[in-house]
Amino acid sequence: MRRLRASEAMFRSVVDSSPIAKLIVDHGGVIRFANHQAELLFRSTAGSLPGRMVDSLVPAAARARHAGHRAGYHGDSRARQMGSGATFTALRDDGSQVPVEIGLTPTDFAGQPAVLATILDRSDRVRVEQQQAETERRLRELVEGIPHLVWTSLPDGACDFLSQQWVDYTGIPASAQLGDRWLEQVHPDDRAATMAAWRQVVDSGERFAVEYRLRRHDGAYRWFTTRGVPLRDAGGTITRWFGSSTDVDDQKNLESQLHDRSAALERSNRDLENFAFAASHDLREPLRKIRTFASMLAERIPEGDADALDLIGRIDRSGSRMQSLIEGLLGYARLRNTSKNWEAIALNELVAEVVEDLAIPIRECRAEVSVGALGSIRGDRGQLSSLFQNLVANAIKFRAPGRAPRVGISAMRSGGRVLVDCCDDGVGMTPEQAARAPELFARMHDPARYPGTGLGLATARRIAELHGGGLAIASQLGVGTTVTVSLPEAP
Amino acid sequence: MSPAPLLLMVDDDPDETVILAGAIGSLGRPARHEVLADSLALEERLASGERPDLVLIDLSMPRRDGLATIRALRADHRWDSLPLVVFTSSRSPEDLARAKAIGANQCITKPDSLRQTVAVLRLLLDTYAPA
Repeated sequence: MRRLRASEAMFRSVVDSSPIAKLIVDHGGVIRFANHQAELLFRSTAGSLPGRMVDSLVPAAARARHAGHRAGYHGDSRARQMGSGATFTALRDDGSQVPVEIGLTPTDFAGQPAVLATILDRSDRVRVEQQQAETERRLRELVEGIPHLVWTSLPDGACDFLSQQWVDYTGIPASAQLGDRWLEQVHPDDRAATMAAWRQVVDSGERFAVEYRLRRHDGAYRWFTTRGVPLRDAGGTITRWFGSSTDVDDQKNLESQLHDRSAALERSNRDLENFAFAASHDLREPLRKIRTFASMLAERIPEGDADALDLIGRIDRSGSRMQSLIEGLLGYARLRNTSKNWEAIALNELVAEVVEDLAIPIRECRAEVSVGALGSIRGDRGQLSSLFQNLVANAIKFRAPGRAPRVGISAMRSGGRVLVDCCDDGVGMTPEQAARAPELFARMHDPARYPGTGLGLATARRIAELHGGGLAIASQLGVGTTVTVSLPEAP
Repeated sequence: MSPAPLLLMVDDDPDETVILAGAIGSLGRPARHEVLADSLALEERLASGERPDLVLIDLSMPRRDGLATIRALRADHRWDSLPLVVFTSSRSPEDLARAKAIGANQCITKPDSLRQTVAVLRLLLDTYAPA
C-alpha cells in the first residue's frame, strides 16, 4: 500500500509536469485525475475536474454520442494513438469551445481499469488550417475572377491545375484535361505547333507566349494567347509553371479586318497609280496631237489673218495649261513613301538650288529671298526639292501688287523635327482660304492674275506628310502668308 | 548622188502618219519615210526590202510592244547596229531608261508641236544619215 502510494505520487509528479493535458477516466465515465495542463486547457478551477463526468467536457449536442463512444471503448480497450488526424470539440468550463485531438491509452487507477486520455489543444492548427483555407479561397476567387483561363503545370509540363474558367469555357471537367489532355481542346491545326512550342519552353525554362484556337463548349474555336512563366525555388529549380490563356479572338478578327482593309487601301492606291499612269498616256496623247495639229494649221494660215492666228494661239495656250494640269496631277499621284531611300540633306544647299532654279521669276519681280540657318533633315531629295520649289514659287507668285516681294525662309528644331517657315509679304488669305488652300485644285485667287494648277500646296503638303510631318498655313489678307512644314531632323 | 535617207516609223496611230508627213515636208532636206502599223509589219519590211537609215518605234503597240521588238532586233546580228530610236508619248523615266537599257539608241518623248517635231527629226537624220 505504501509502495502504491509512492508510485502514485511519482505518477502524479510525472503527469503533472507534462506539457500535455491528461485525464484519467474510469469506466463509469468519472474523471479520477486531471493534471495541471488539463485544468488550463479546460479553464477549470484547481482540483475541480476529478469527480466530474468526463461527458461534461463535451458540448451538449455531442454528449449523448460521446457517452456511447465511451461505452464502446471500454468494451474494446485498445490504445488509440494521437495523430489520427481527427479533431473533436471540447467544452470548457467558461462555456467556450476548443478543438482538440485526443489519444486514449488503457491504464488502471487505484487498482481499477481506467483510461488515460491525452488531449492536445489544436486551436493553433485549426487556425492555420482556417487561414490556409481562407488564403486558398481568396486565391481561387482571384484566379476565377480574372478574365483569363489560368493553369499550372508540373516542371515536366504536365498540367496539374485548370481554373474554373477553363472548365466553363471548354465545358469539360478539369480532371479529364490534366496532363496533356487539354491539348485535345486545341484546334487540330494548331495542336502540333502548340505542343512543340510548349515542349521547347519546358526544356529551356524560358517564359513563353503562344497562340492557338481553343474549342469552346459549343464547338466554336476561339483564338487564345497563352503566356507562361516558370516559378523557381531559391536554388533556381523550376517548381511549377504558371500560365494564363487570354481570349484574343475579337482582337484577332479586328486585326484581320484591319489587314483586309489595308489590303483594300493598297489595292485602291494601286488603282489610283494605274489610273495616273493611264491618264499620263491616254490624256496626254490626244492633247499633244491637238497642239501639234494646231501648230500645223498655223503654218497654213495666210500671213495677215490675225484673227485666225489668235484663235490658234488660244488653242495652244489652253492645251498648254491642260498639259501642266496633267503633269501636276501625275506628279501628285506618283508621290510615294520612299523612306527606304531617305538620306541626310543639308537644307540650306537644297533651298539654294531651288532658289537658283527659280532665278528667272525671282529676277523678274525683283524678289528678295533671305534664307536663315536651316539645319539638316532626313528625306527624299527629289520630293523635298519639289516641296520647297512649290513654297518659294507661291511666295513669289502671290506677291502684293506694286511691291517687290520679300521671302524669308527660317527653321527651328523641335522634338526631333525641323519646322521650316516660308514667310512672304504677299496678298495673303482669309483664315477660311488658308484652311482650304492645301486641298487639291484649291485656287484662292483670280486665275487670270495668278495662273496655276491648284496643286502646289497640295503637293507640298503630301510630301511633308510622306515625311511623317505636315504643313500649316498662317495668313492674313493683305499682310502675307507663312507656310510651316515639319520634317524629320537628321540624326 | 546617194538616195534620200529612208526613215521607218512603227506606230499604230494614223494621226502620227499625218504629223510625220507634215514634219518630213518641212525638214529642208530630202527624206523618204514609211509608216508601219506594228512590229510584225516592221519585221516583214526589214526582211524583204531596202535597209532603212533610221527606225522610229513607239513603245505601246498591239501584238508586240516596242521593248520586245527592240530586244528581238538587237539579238539578230543583221540588225544589232540598226539606228533604233524610241519615239513615244510616255514621259515615264522608267520606260525611257528601260528602252535604253535593252539597246535603243535614243529615247525621245514626242514633241507637242510641229516645229519641235521637225527639229527633232532633223537632228536624228543628221546624226544617223548625215547628208
